[in-house]
Amino acid sequence: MASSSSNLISLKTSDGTVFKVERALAKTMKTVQAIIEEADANIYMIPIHNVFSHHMDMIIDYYKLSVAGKSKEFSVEKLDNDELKDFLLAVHYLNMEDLFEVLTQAVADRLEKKSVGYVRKYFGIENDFTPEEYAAIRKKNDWAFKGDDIEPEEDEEKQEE
Amino acid sequence: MQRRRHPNSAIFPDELMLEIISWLPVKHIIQLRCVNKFFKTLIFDPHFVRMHLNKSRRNSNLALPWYRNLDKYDEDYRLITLSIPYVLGIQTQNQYAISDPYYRLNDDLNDDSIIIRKIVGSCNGLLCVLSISSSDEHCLCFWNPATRTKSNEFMVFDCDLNCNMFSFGYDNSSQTYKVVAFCAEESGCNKVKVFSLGDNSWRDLQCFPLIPCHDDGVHFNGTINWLAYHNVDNQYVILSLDLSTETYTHLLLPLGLDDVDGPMIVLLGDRLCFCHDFEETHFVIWQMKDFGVQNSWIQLFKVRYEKRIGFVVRWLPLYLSGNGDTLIWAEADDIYREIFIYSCIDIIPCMARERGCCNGRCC
Repeated sequence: MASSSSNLISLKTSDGTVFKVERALAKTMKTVQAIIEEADANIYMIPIHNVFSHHMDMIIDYYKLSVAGKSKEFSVEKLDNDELKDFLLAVHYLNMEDLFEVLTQAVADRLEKKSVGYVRKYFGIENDFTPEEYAAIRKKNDWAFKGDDIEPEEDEEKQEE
Repeated sequence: MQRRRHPNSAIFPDELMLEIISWLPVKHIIQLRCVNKFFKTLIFDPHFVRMHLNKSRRNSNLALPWYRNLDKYDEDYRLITLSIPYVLGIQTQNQYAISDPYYRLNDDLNDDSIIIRKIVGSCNGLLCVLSISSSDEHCLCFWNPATRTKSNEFMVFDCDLNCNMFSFGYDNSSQTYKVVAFCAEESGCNKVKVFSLGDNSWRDLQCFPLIPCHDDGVHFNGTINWLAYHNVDNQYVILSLDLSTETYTHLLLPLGLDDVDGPMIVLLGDRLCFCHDFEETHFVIWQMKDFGVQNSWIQLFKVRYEKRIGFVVRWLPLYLSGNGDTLIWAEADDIYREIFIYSCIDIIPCMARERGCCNGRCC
């Protein structure tokens, strides 16, 4: 049973798994820290919504690496786009500053040099320009589309499903 | 903002999306103006701009004036930019650095007047540029190379005054950009004036308590700093103008400096630095770790250089890497103008294509 003198905090993920984590790791999660501080009595188990056990595994990996001074070795390459997005949302919910920065950069890296159509699809955004408005804004910023390594624009019709 | 949910696709709240987008380089963000109406106006949103600025401090560029051979009548002056990662990536000696044509400020050569442009200073990626026409008209304008936008040119005030010193800075308290001008009147009086972007007018300021040695003030964290010689104490000091209170203070240089040659101050590695020549064989760079604290000066570099006999060498440090082990500087004498990269391991000279002038800035 967790008590305030214990160094371990119990966190329960959305899929029902309980993780016993070091107090220092729990401190990096501002959301969890706020729950601990608000509780009058000792908290037995803290539920963390929107966080699954596979997220916690990665969070613990990152924590161990950063404690050892090797946070640069942490990689999310093996995650596909949707998995990365889910992980970022979980870390965002937990309000973990350092890991959040790492993940937003990782997503930005995946978006870099991608076309307008790709970014729309990635964020699930609709194009609210009329064809004339789009042509005008495209022309005005035409210079930004020139240069090396620019991916060709996806065909507008194809990606409107 | 309108969204359409893709199956299996997580939807980010707007704020989270901005946290991601603000990592992207400006050119890409400008492309993304075509995504939708929300993105179109993003670059004008002050909150987003600040977010992006804080992240992009890691990506610096050099801004350099560039000019062709002055003997011919069809010379032109341009301002070019070179990305620092690109410059640092140059491994071979005497390789030319080529600037991206989209980030240059070219002149419209519609009339015969030749415009000389000089970079007054840079803050937050905004450059203040001074233009001097062949009829000696002085104009200032502001140029943002990343978004390729340039303000209108505006005349410097009343040309009876001989204005030859301008400095550019940012006042954190009022969040305005300011240009400080120093004018030496023929009668011997001196005047200092300040221009605030937004007010768009010049105001008088307290006169300098000491006369600065060099043209350009160095902007650092809401202050503009000049090197000045204190006649009474017989030593160089740094004259510092606080842009919000508009008052002056003196800052002391490192203890125990003997007579120094070719002294100057520059901003390197986000700190104010003092540089000087040592016996015409080395140049030395000191850095003030804590602003205003004399004890916090440390000697960063003592770099050996090759002096060409008969030529006076002028050199200008431009950039210091975050970890402090790589330095980029420009060196010029009457014939050669080169940019050097110095790392703790090696010195690699590389030339800015078609020879840039030795008045560059890091922006």
